[in-house]
Amino acid sequence: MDFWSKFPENFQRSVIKKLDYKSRCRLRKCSKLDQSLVDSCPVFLDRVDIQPRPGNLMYFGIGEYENCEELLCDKDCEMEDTIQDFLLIFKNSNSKLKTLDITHHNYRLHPEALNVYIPSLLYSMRSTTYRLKIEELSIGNYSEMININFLNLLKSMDPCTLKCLSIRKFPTQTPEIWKEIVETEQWKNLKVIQISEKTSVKLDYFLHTDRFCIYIDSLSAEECWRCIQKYLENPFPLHSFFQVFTSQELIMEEIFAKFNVKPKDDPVERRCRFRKCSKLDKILVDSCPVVLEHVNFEPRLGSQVYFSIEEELIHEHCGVAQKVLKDFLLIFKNPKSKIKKLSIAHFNFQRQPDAVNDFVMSLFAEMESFYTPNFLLKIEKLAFHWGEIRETVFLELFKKLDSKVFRSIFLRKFPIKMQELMMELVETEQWKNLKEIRLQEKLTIPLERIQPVNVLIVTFHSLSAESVWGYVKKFRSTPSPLQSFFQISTSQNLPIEEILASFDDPVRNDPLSNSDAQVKHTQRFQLSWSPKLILVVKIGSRRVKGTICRKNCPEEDFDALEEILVQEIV
Amino acid sequence: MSVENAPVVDVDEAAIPVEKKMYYRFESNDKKEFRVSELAIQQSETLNRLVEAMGYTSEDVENKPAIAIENIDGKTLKLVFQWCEHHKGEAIPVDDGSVPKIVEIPEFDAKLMDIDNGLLFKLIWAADYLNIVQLLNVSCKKVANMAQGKTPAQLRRVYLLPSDEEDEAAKRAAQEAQDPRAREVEEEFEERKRQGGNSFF
Repeated sequence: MDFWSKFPENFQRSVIKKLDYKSRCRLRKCSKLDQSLVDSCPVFLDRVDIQPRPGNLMYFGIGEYENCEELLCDKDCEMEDTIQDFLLIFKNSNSKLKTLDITHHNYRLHPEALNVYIPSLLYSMRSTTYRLKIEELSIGNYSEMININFLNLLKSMDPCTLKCLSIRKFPTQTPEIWKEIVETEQWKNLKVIQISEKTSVKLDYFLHTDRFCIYIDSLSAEECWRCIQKYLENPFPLHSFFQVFTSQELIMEEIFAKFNVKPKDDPVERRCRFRKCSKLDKILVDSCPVVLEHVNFEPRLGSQVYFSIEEELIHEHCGVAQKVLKDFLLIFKNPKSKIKKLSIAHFNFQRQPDAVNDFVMSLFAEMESFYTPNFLLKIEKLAFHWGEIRETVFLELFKKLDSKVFRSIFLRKFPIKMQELMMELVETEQWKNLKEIRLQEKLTIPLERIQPVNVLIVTFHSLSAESVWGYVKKFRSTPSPLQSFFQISTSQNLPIEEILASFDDPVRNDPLSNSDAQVKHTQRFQLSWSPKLILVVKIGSRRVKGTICRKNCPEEDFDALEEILVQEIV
Repeated sequence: MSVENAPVVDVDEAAIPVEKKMYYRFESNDKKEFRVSELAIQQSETLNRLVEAMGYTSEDVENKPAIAIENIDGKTLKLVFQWCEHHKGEAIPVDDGSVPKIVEIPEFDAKLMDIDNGLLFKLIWAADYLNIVQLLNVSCKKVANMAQGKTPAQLRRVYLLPSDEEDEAAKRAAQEAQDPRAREVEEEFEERKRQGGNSFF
């Protein structure tokens, strides 16, 4: 049977849209008809990596949305071939690429590689009318480009698509070229700009973006205030930010003098200053406990650590770890002082993989010099979302938390993988006393080792019916507050029939009125410890969720607490 | 749930379901009759509109003749309805034309589509005709997966792709079938060329 050509064209297009990029290119080679058909279907790619290599070769890698972690086509090829392969992506005018990453690791050996490649690419595009639809242009490590090449590359991009520009080192700059760059539609439409190395450029060129991060020589008080004012006056989206590093120190007094609002009083600093006035004041300050809502640490470049006391930001500063940690540990000078939430975030972890480990080790060292060996941090919740931490360091930090206060843990990735360390962790008082466990990525601790807590959000690879039912039973028999819930997800399908078969109540599918189609079974369990409350358990193919609800309004209670939790700022 | 246990009721083979839901009766072009639940029908935009327009009551469903689906045979229709029953109540994906949605083939669908190319072709055709978006998605993904890791030569074999020459021949044949006069003109032109004439006119 003539399989493919019997397909109507719309089916063929549907199939082509679902082909991986490699197969798409191969199908294109089968016949002229297939070529024109493939070219008529836009392609959406996650990333393309181009890296100059010795011997006029180029590394060319393509990553797809479906397999964005592995590059599907990765090879070293002749420069001309990579240009043709690259331009092929844009054969259809609706094709779009999320990230183009040009990185030149060997720039010392071949300083001119990009200055040959970019003009050749642009030359090959001379007869085309389209512009490259690329959302993010990233020019990475040690790439040297003559500014005119950068300008032309920028101009070759579709201004409506390009949103983000990330450059490690800006090409050699002259004011004329800069002027021309910032006058392009592409620059004007950018939403995000990041330039890692020092650049001599006017701050005003960046004020149209939602986010920018630059490193300049100096920042005058007028410029600083202009920047703040721009963000105050314009309706930028949530999480918009600016970050300006300077070689020369900022003079606070001058900046404050330019403000048309009074700088906000800082009770923490005032407290610290007051503490220094006399021995008596020190005793007085230390005798008053302080309860802080949210303290945040972020390791930054150059051994700096950003330290802030959040919720209506009352204090923030960036300094060397030792200084920041001294300020932090002062909080616990009074034994009744505590922090409700401590966040550690490290956004630059790929470049500084050990920054969090180093920071936590410094914390231990400072704790040792500041307090007695049995001192424990009074922190209710530990949140660690961005960055990497070694499993032993994490375990050590975990043990330094006061189990009488520590109640909640909120992690993206559970750092502990070794069986012995894991067992050590679950045996700690800190773990046993937890009331909230929220882990976004797959957990390696067996579900059987997790005690019933008020909030449990975890993911496993797969679970047996016995494990699931075991946890449901434990949760059911443990008195918990209203709206307490567990949400257990799996990557593999759950054995629903087996789970239902293990119930000690008659199996009865009793969906809530607002239940969605993903739920395959809903069971309402009576609770031995409360006549007014029930446990509602919803089971889907890969998720089981149970919530303590009021008997008469389970719909209202089922997702109530989760909805509050998802709004939490990490 | 296995493919075999999917709750499509083939009247010839199985008993009438005990659930008190409305089950519509459909008939394939080779006179096979199927009973399909109201919820499962919602997966097909075409059938859903059809039954809504008919406004059948439970009695009508039993007493009136089965709804004929002229273009689809019993074997294909059975697969279609098995799929609809298994996925009943699930949300119907909407393609907004932006970044392509990742399509994963669930285990049930993979087993259902473990069929020869001829039947797969008919299934895709039926999914398109009955406007069952997600079945069309997974079946096209199945065809796309057949191409994974294949060289152009292997692709030609898997998809039975015609070469450029075959495409040309097919195009000519189609043109000729459309316009017999065109063939005569072309033959006359070729004849004149052979005789050495420079101009046709």
